[in-house]
Amino acid sequence: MPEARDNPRIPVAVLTGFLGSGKTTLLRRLLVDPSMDRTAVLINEFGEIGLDHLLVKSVLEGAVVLQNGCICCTLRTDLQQGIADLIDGRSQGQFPEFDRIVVETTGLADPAPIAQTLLIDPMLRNQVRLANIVTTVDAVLGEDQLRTHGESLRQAAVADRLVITKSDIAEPGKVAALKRALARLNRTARITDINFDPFNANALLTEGVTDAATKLDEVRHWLANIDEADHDHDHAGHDSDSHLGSQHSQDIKSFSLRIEEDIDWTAFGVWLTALLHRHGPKVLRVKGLLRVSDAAGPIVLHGVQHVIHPPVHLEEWPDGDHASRIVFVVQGIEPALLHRSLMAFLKAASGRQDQRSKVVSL
Amino acid sequence: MCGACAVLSNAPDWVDRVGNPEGIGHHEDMTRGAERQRRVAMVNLLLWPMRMRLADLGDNVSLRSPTGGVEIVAGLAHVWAAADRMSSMAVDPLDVGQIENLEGAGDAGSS
Repeated sequence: MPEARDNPRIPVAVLTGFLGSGKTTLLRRLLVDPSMDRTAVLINEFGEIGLDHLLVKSVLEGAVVLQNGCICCTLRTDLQQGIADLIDGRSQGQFPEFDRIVVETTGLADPAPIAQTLLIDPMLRNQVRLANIVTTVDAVLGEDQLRTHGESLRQAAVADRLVITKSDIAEPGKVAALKRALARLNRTARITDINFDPFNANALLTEGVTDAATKLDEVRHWLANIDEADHDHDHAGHDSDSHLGSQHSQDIKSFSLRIEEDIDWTAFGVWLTALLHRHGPKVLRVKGLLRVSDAAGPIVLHGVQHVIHPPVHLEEWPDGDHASRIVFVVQGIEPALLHRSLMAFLKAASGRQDQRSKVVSL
Repeated sequence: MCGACAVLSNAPDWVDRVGNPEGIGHHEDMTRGAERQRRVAMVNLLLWPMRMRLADLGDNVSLRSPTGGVEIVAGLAHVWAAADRMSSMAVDPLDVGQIENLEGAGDAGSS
């Protein structure tokens, strides 16, 4: 049986965050960290960072929307070229060796096309792997920005790591409220306070589900947070109107599906590709751990909008619960309808009785 | 992955169990042809309400429209985009009517 191999490609982390949310401050702190000395950076503008001795390269904002593609098929040509130049320059001895790349976006950028470019570009996907999407959120203004700026909400919704900045000048109650809001919006992301939590550059940028050494711990974190939400839901009920997105025209929600029986991988794949073809722009993230029929061990599924990463094998279950659990972060999709659709398709494909499953709003 | 992306990338299909070294693996007795035929049957669960049908041709699959038109497509990544071109009705897993069709098919299969 062929095994999905752990990925030796250069990790590329995406650093994003709304205007003035502290991206450059975080980048500066990352780049002076001793563990980050072999890091190449692609930024939008020189000047602010002030670290000329490091390998920092500017990219221009440029994108091409494929005329014959779906609406979310946006490839960042500037990013393609920037990374290609870095890799070529390294191999030709023009640049020093580097072990990781950080891409800093503009404050209004949607990080999804950047992630898609890394995953589907024919040259890049063989040389780099998408590591973490890191989103900075301002403790003073962040909660308001999440309510009023769709870009800010999407940046937070797709993040693997949420970094709270300016907590040293914000009221403690505001920081706590922001943490709760972020946790409800994006249940699987790790939330770090840059001022008061231990600072671990590798944990922010590259440790995670595409890193062989830390993938199990990452999935364990996802599941613990899903289970916590499930527990809260069972005991307190659920008020969907309290979601940030529900108070905003963006209407972003996260929820999880729990399926008790083995999942037919082919059936699940057919259904998900059809869903993502039709609704890819509305499915901001999908992450999950699946118990697949005839597969050796649990399978980690994760994707950004309509692009799914190569599936990752885990050698063991992260916890004692061996049910499949899938988290969706969606925009304008009703969780109950998506759940009904998946279960109807799995049932039709298998010809079996209803599978035991439920949807949990996070 | 939509058709345009697949054409651009030639990326391995993440659903593929037999032919994809980055896939999830498979039992030794699962052949590529058997996997492809299973997949075609499952795709047809979503296509039949549109009166469209996918057929296995070996290396490719063919998609037949309600009016009898036929288009050869290279794989799953291309099927949904081809279906959009060939039918005025869109395959939509979140359409209530299409879900009800699936529920009817599931009930028929389990009875």
